[in-house]
Amino acid sequence: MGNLNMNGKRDARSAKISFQFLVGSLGVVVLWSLLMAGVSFFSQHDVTGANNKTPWGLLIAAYAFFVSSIGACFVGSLGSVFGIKKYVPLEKKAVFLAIVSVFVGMAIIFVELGQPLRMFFRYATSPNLTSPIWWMGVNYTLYLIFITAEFIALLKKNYQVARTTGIFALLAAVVAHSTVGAVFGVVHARPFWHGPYLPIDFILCAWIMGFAMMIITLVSFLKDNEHKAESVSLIEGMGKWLAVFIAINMFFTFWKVTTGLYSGAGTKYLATAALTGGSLSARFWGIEILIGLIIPFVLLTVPLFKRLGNIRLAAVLSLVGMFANKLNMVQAGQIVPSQVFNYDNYLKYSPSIIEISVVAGAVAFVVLIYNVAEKYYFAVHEN
Amino acid sequence: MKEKNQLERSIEVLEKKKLSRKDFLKFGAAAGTALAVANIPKIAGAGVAKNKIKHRYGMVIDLARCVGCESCTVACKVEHNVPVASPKDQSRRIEWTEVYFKEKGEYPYAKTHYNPRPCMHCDNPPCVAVCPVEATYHDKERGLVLQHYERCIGCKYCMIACPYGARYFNWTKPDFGGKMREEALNPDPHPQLQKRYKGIMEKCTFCVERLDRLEAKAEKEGRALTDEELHLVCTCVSTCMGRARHFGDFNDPDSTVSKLARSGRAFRLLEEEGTEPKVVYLREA
Repeated sequence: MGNLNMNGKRDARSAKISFQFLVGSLGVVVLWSLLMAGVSFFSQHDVTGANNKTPWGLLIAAYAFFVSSIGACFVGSLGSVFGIKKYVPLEKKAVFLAIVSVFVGMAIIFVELGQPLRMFFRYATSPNLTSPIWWMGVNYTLYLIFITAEFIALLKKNYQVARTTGIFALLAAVVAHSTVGAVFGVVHARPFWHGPYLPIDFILCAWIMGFAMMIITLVSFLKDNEHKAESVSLIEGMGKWLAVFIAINMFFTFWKVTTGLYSGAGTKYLATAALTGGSLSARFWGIEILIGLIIPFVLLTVPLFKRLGNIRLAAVLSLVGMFANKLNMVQAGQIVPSQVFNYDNYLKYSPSIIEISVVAGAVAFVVLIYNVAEKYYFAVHEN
Repeated sequence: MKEKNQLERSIEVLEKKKLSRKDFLKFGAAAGTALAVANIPKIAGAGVAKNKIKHRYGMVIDLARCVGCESCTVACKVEHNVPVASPKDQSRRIEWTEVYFKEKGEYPYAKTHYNPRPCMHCDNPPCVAVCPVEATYHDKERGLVLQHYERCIGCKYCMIACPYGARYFNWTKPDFGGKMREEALNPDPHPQLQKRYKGIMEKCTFCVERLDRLEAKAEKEGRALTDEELHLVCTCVSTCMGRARHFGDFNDPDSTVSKLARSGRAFRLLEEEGTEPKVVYLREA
């Protein structure tokens, strides 16, 4: 952050301007997205690209993406719960990111729902215990309670309480996030989603996202101080773990595609075919596979590319690929029309400006708030 | 000295906390088990068990008689104040009973097939299982799947779960087609006919408001409903010019629908989904 002046030292003034510019530009994106969300609430006309045949779109995919940030809770718990010394310095940052991203995910859902305000009391007054969405709401609320308690305990340096709440937060995170996968996995009417794999896959993706987020954070704010060597070692360690999880994801993806295409017939085949050779194929092969899996894996494992900047690039690309993965999953599940419709073609969906704006604002918000927290708290209290 | 006291005190606190944590876990486990056990019947299959539903109201639609006129669609929309959609917005139109058209075959053997599709009012409804706030529920007395409009949060999970595409979301503020149509809205104050609004689901109710009126009348007269009365309860059934549709109680083996359902031409859509739909179709000859 900030430019080097003639003496090769970071110029404090230019760093401030750079920070202001960052806050300003991200702030504009956030404000624009809030405006678009407002339009969505108050408009009497349709504002999304979704329709009665493909009701879930970009906002649901973005929600699934943002709540995958419980992976940051997983990474943070390596320090605060499992006591792995190497990870202790990043536990506060990880927990903070985990809280903020989940909140942002919930804000996105708030925009997506038709009557969001009812959610708060209807969940209590008329719960349906067979509904994965109900359990998802309850579990994520519990998770937020536990992880906020953990964060406060960490801030107060109350490490015993942090450990206890951290254990509960970790358990709640695993239960909550696999429930999000189950939201898709229990639907028998959508063969592409149906089955036990999505809850498992979501947890895997959460680990990838957690390591990716923490790598980006640490590399971006790496300081030239006495902790630098430790931080670099930590980053390289996380890079290795990220590579491992990306490899596992490649394995999962290979079998998902192969088993989907094998039979040559049926809804699951048609959905997978849309993914690999149809309307979703560009985003699947180009973004989810090449940008999201292959390039990061190469950057992280080939010794020629071993540089901090490349580790961060790999993390960023894997996040982009992860977002494409969520959107592809959401779309592939709905793209094949029900046999009842007597409709021969794949269904179409494209997100509206409002949906894209809300998601862009969500990303901007997380980046913005982390930058502010880093500048005013984490950088100041680094010990 | 002071530090030691503090240490001792914090150990005491931790021990106390340990104890209360154990209790908390015990309580949590007990509560969780109780909750899970209480819901096993529900989890095992959404809706009420088939043999516990008093009247299994359903429909038979004879595809040999359907001509694809869509009078059923229109009559239902008029009866239930279902909004209209602009020509540009047809992918978000709401038609409680929709007719699907399919052209099959090549000239000179080309033929159009018509498939009217109301809500199936399944005995094992996937929509009821997934609704987070029980906004859609399974009526135990009559086997109907109905809505609590005031509970719906608009998550669209039921739309995702329904394999028949029988559920519709109000993506926009409902448009009733201008002044003339506004004046022609059905003023029936029945709660199921309340005006819907942006952000909630709606779907076919098997004309429950007409069924309720009929049941009230029969109760006043101290008798059960006859099959003849039930047969034409639904607007779509009474409107059908081909007399292709029939309504009745599948639990009554002598009702029209039960007799027709025993025909060799009878089939149900998407049997493999396990939803136990209560709309039986009769194959075209």
